[in-house]
Amino acid sequence: MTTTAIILAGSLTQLEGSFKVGPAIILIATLLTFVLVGIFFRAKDPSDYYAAGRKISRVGSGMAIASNWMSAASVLGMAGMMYGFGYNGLAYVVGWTGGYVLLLILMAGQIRKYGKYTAPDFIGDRYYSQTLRIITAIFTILISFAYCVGQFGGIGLMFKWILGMNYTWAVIIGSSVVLLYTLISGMIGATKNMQIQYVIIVVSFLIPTFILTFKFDYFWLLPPVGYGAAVTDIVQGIPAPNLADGAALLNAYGQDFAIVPSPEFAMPWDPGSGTTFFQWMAICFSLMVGTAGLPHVIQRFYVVPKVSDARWSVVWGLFFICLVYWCAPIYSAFGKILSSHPDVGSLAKDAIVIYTAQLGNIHPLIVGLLAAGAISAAFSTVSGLLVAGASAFSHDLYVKVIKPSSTPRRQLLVARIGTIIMGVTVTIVALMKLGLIAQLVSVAFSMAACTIFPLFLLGIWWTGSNRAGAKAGLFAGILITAISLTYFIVGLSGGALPGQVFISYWLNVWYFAWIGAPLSIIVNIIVSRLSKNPTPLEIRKFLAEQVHT
Amino acid sequence: MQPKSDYHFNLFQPYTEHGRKIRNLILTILAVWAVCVFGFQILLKVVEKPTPEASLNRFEAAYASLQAGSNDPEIIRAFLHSQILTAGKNGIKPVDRVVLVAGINLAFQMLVTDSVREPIMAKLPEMITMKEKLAKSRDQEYLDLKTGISRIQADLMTMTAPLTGFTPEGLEAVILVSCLKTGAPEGLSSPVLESLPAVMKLYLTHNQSFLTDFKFLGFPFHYFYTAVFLLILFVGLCLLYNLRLDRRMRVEKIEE
Repeated sequence: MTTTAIILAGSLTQLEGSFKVGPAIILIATLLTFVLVGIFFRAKDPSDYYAAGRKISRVGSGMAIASNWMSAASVLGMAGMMYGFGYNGLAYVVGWTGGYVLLLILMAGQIRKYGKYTAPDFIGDRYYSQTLRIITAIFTILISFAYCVGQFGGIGLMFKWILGMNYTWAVIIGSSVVLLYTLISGMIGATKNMQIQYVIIVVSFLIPTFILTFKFDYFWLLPPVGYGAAVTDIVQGIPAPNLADGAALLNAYGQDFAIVPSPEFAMPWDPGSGTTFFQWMAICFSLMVGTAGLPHVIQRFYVVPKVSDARWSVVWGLFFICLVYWCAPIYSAFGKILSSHPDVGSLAKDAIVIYTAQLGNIHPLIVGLLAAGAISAAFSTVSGLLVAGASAFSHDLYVKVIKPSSTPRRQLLVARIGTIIMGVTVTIVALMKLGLIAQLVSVAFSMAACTIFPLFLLGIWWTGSNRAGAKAGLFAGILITAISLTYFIVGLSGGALPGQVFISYWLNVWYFAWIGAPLSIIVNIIVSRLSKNPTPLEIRKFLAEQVHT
Repeated sequence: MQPKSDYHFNLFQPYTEHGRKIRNLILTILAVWAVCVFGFQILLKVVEKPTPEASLNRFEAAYASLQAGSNDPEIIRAFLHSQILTAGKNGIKPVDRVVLVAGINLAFQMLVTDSVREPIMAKLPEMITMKEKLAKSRDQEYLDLKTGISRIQADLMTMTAPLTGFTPEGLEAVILVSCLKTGAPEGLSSPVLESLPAVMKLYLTHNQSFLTDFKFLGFPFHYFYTAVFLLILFVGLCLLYNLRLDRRMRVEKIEE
């Protein structure tokens, strides 16, 4: 090793461990902004709390959709999956964007036309069933809960990295801040914050991609295309030393920008990555269908003034999401090369975005901004999830079932208590570190795909789907969910049930919706057809005249 | 077409002309979406062929020769180099890494003479101890350890280069040094190394086809298609749907 490299190795900063002043200032400034915006645009009545008073523009709503959508799983987890599992990680990129096509053409406009505040509201009304309202309200809370667990994990990782504190305290502090401003603001403050958060996410995420592609001699003017040559270099290997203009390209440790041939990074369902073709398809399908069934995503369509705004906000939202998703593989590709030196070794997948920026010797303040962006992503999603969960608790359970005569002031109080209970419980579960961020979030998608999605799809598009069919379909979806979760929990605790290996593969907790969603739809159709009680005329008439005209 | 009085309808059987046109638009977009996403992956699966890396062929030839009792240094170097290229991948499972490290140490010990082996082995314990401390160290202590490890590695790489044929500062030399262990190596027929051919085959065989070999804008084509093109397609499909719907509403004078 050259003297230069030894000197560089002696001057580098650690990837983890120490308090980082610049990034900490950026983080605190960002969090203060969120809280102030939350206070300034705070909710004044239940309508503001649940649906932002329907005052949000198309582009603004698109930004809010993107921000609400792009969680720690998108900003941190997705690159981590590609870094660890190569081409199979792309199933997350495709699954989390392709679902928006389903959402737009099958649901967005129709949901807005139906005119309800929450997913359980729609289901309870469409299927004229208080039982279904209660069950879907409970599942809305569970889905939001599962989704939040991954987010709180991501928040913990970033706070740990910036503040140099342990994971437990990082999660507790991060959760407290996000709870605080969600409580103060509700959806309207959250929506304003989401627009600011989107800008922070996209700027912080894109800047390092330009720097990395420029620094390592790839086409930097358009990084989502420029990194293609880096992928090919990974496949073919980069022999060391890699010379450009007479000087070696080095990572932050002073090590050569070199890698042994690694086709497993890009080749489909590579045997070495332990992934299969079936898993790619199952993950992709589950995420797509789950996207169209997530309560906090569906709820965003209630906040726009018109139906066409709901449709166009999806297009804007998807475009804004894609700006980040096109760039996520860049981090995994450069992370792969920059960590190929044995001294660096295989890095923690969920923090690969940050590590890649550090190993690429990007200025610490820009890396700090990137971490703040990741936290923004987690915050924006968590606030939407907490509002969706709290809405299900207060609006669908408390007001509609437990105490219909409650005052608006009382409703708001119950919503806030629901938010606190959920926030505290999620924090406790997040401390258990049950899996990678993207995987934990996938559980929420599969749950939504098996329970909420079939009810919305058939509820909107088939008047023949009735209460009996909906209940049977929902039961089938819940059954698949319960089987998968049971085997997962037993497996985690080191136990084994009959057929453990079989179920863990075919009904894996990350993608069980590949069978759960179609099964729920089929059962719904069969039982609806067999049932002698058709959907009431007034509901059919409403669907025909109000939703589908 | 007029609405029926019972108001029964579904996606496939709309009850108005407007509904029929919307249905056609939706089904067309759904078909394009499904074929482009899942159809392409199925095609990728159908045309794929398990393809070995060049180093797997070298390994298998060298492994067979060594099993037959060969001591040819060139064969041992090929045996070592192919394993180094596998151990350098950072997605290797820990259990498989143990096998690779054993194989690399065996090949290395077969290459070196006693006079070279002793000074190399003498430096290893110090480096291993420093690496163990590194994980728990902070700030200045971390930097000192890192610099110390780099110095020992540089010495080891210079000492091993003439034997292995690797460039002294190259990645292969670094990987070799990081894999070296003290003590006697496992034999080729030992239980640990029994699974070496299977481990090498696992990590050096990849599903390839003309779709993965063809390059587009620098990408392997299938990677570009999935990571870049599909996202463009999704935005395009959503845009198309909204534009067509808005146009239809204008034509039919439908107002919200």
